[in-house]
Amino acid sequence: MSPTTKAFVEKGRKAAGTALALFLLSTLLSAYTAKRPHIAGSLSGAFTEVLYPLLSSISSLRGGVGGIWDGYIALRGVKEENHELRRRLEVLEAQNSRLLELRHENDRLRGLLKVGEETQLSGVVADVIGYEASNWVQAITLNRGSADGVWVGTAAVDQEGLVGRVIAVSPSTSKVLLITDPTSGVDAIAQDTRAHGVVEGNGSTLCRWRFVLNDDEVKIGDRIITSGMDGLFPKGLLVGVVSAIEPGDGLFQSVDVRPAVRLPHLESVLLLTGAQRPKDILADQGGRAP
Amino acid sequence: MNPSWVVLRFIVLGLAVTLVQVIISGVLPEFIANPNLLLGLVIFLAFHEATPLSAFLVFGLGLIMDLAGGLILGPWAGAYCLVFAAIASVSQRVFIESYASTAFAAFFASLLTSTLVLMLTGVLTTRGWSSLTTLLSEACLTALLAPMVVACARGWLSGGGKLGAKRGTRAFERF
Repeated sequence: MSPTTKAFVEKGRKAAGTALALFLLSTLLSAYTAKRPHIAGSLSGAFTEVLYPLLSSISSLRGGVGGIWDGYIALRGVKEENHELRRRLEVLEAQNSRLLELRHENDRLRGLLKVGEETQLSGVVADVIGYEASNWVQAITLNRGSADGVWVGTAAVDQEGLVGRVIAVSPSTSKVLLITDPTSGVDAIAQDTRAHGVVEGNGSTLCRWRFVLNDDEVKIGDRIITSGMDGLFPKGLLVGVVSAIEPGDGLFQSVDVRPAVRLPHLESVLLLTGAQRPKDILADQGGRAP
Repeated sequence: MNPSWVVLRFIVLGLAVTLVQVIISGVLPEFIANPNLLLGLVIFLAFHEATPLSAFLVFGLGLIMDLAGGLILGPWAGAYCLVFAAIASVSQRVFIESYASTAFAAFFASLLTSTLVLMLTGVLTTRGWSSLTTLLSEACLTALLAPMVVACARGWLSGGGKLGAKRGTRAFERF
């Protein structure tokens, strides 16, 4: 081996050694931050705040790019004599599309307002400006933050039901962990039979309702609502409906729940900022906040 | 080019790739897994710039992914570092100029990274091997796109020069 190659291999080894040392450091970091989620939450909030202007512009551009495609590229090659008529049609279609979009937005906002009225909790409407970059965490980024009264733990809902809860917040953005994420947990009951369990995400578009006793009566189509007992979500929010049941071997049965909300297609949500924070509930009960 | 300038350009590139990844995740249909584009940068560093400084940059790229997640800091950083160490240790025996070798490295790097992240976050126990299709789909897309990211990185970081054009033209060496 020539001296140059030797030096080269040596440098590669040093790089690999440094990387392995950093791997050990990151496992320690994981263990440390797993026990202190507020650290990751606040740092992630600051990071999203830095990216907020870009995310916000991209989110608004997304619709515009679609419009350009429909309005210009798809119309290339139109015969000249039809050009003027088609141009007018295009303008009218654009207006119509904008009006339809406004109607949809109006419907959405009305739905969200209704949720606020039903739960008797005040809240702020937030638009989705970003999705999670990896496949292993199911979260969305919203354009409302602590400046709008959002706090870590705030429940996010839409007119169909529960979406998730805020895990990181910055002055103008917040990150919501969806109920389908495997690390999410919601204390929930069946609306009819009052069977009790915990709804956890399974990483796909479904959730699993765990710790439901074999003796409890559960049938497909049952509506599952929040129990309010976890101190995180207000009572009575629709989580989803039972989609499959398998009797378990032990004490509990295995129940799949289809979320009420079409989570991959969310555009805006209502953040229930008027709900009581867990530490306030504890204070009311004479306990101590964590 | 001044090495600190190269590092700065690399950080900008890392953030840009993260943004592209966020945009892609919002655009792709739900049945298609998101590609891990940042792995392209990890492979670029392991193939063309295997130095201790690069290991720190890889750690930084992982932290970006962790911060984007917002749950725990460390799993992505650790997984990227391990993948970097593995690729850097074999990069002397690989024809790194080939598109196929980059794609091949990206495929296995993606599988390894995601499995490690699932293990470190404890999600593997919840999801089990039901996530195998997502893992494979992510790995295939990453393998397809990573060579383009590597090409972009070479172009952007060389600034018209020769950085990464072949082995031995390491810009970070003076650190």
